[in-house]
Amino acid sequence: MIIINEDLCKGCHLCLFMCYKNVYAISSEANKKGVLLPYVNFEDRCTNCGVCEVICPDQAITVDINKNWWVGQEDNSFNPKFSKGSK
Amino acid sequence: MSVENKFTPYMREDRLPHIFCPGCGNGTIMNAFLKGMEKAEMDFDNIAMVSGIGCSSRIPGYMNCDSLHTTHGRALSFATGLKVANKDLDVVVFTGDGDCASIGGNHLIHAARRNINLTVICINNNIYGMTGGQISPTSPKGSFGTTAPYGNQDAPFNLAELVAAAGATYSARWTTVQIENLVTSIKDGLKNPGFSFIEVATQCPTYFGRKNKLRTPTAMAVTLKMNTVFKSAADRMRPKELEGKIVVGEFAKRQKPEFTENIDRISEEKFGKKTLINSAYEEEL
Amino acid sequence: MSEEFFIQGNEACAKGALKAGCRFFAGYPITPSTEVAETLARELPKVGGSFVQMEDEIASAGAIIGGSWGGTKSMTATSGPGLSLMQENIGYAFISETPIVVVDVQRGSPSTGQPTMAAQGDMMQARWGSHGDYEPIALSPSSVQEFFDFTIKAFNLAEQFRTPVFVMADEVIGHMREKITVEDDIEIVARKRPEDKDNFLPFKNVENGTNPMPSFGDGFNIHVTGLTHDERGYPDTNDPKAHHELVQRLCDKILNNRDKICSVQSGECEDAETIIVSYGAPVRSAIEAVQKARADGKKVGYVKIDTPWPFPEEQIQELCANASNVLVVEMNLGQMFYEVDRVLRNDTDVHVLGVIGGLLPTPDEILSKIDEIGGN
Repeated sequence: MIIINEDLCKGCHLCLFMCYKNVYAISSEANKKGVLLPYVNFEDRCTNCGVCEVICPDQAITVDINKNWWVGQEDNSFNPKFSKGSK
Repeated sequence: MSVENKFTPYMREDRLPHIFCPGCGNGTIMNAFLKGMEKAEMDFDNIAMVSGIGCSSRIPGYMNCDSLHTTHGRALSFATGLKVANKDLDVVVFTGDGDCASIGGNHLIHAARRNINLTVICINNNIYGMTGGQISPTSPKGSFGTTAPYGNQDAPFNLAELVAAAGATYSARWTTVQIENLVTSIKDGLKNPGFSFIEVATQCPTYFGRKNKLRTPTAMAVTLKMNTVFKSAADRMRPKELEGKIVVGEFAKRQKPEFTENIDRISEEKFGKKTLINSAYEEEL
Repeated sequence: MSEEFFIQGNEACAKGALKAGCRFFAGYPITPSTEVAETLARELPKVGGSFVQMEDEIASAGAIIGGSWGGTKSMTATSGPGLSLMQENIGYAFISETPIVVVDVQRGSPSTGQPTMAAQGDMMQARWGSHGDYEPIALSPSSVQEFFDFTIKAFNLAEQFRTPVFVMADEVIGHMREKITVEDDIEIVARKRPEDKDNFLPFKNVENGTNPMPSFGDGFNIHVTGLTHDERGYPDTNDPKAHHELVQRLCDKILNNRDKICSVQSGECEDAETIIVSYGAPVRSAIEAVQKARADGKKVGYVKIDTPWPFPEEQIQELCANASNVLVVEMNLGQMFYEVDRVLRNDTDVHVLGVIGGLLPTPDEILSKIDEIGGN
């Protein structure tokens, strides 16, 4: 599942550019900030690579998967030594 | 929202969204840093960030850790003091091309010469973004800026090689579109016990793009991707072929004695003293 | 038990710094202050401190601010040209409320000037050198003993008010050798760490203006910036009110505590018709001039300013209330003269004996100036 935070997205569309499976598309109407939000068009194509999550400069994309390449293990919990965060 | 973004818990969420323009690479590099930090299994509690002035130097202000936003170009000197005063901290410096190559060039080469254990992430967008699009010491020859209306005539600095030559133990260059390499490089830089310099070539669609006919973030990202040449390939290319290219890869990876350890060693070996930490809070020393 | 030493002024300064708890020094060689760095380079490793020779004075000032936020009392020493380079970062220390000590052993200036000769030409630079409004604290020693004492006092004031403090010595004091006495029970002010980790506001507008200071790594997650900031430390650059409140607080925390900071010494002022106002090395000549004048039956007294900044207005007004002439003796063409004139001009004639060139004004020079202005 891919979640786009509409409050944070500024509409740069780097997610479209970076996704090599073309999962994303651009909506035709601007939201109230004047941003043409991306939306998930072909979720079934997603390979859980997680690149869109990192490339998004506004921390607006969250890929809810447990198998991102950068996690390495089966869980995507935060750094075990990280104790200050809200989680 | 049921699933929280993986990066925002590390950030001062009350300050988001950040001030960076749409499509600015700074946000990407924040994410890449956090990923690299997770991969290096660093303790985020123990990280202190230092920055100078510029767009990239606003990054520590959004990170939920101790952060020192200093004067223009001087981030590395503040970081040197911070690291020497408390060598247990993992000090990370976010800086830009104008900040560390122009006004802070001297501090950059001297920090590299000392091989002090800092991780420097230099966000190189080839332009002064915060002041409105002036050319920087890394602007490519022929590029346009508000202070180079007829094209930049000066040769740019090659920062990663400069720092490697100055004595850093880790020096690399990547771009914002090579996420995987960048994250791995940040991980290596954080783990390296010495001066680590990671230059990230990034897009500035607002100023560099507008002045150089690359108005959208995507257009800039395409240019970055197309102009990238890996170091292994570049080594076999002629200088003429490399004009206008961004050579990516690792430029230094070696072992050398570290600066704060040298200070410790002298205290310990000659006088049997441990370097004090947080001594300002003690009345009797 | 007190100890006695026969040492040079710059060495006394380094000794005072160590006594005060300074455990980090970053500096750059510059005549006539280099012995401070040399002494600390030798002594700091013996007590668990760190010494770094930086690439320039700009970096030195930056490094000690970083060191101070790292939880270590930090100091640098320089002379006029170096102080000029440090000004930007000193301004940063003011707005970020970082306790640091900057020792300035003054030399003939402007520019490279006379590296090995004494002067007091940086007094106004200490006051107004960085851009914007701020209230510095500066101490001016006139003996080797005072150089030692004032260095300790500078660290105490820096910690007490979370502010940069200057020690404005000069080449005469820096290179002079005298006997100093180090007492056993010297008061040292330690930094205060805030208690409440969750609700701590590092830049809050508290009653006396000074907040406790956490160090980096303590877990307070503070943001320190040179931009105009709110009480959390977050930048707030477009609100005129926020800027006014911040700068006003930074000035008030010094100005409202002038009675705790300012200090003057005086002699023979009660019945004096002419009073010599001086600070730093020229005080030594002033005192002898007063003794000579008194021997001749002339009613002359002296006021020695310990703390040029904040300027001890009230004390000077009080001491000079009955004098008809005031002579400011200093080793520049008149800098503190304007301050003295500002506070006394309604009641008294204020004159200046400004001696530049590198040599101390002699007692005879002072006496002939007194004759010239008609004092007796």
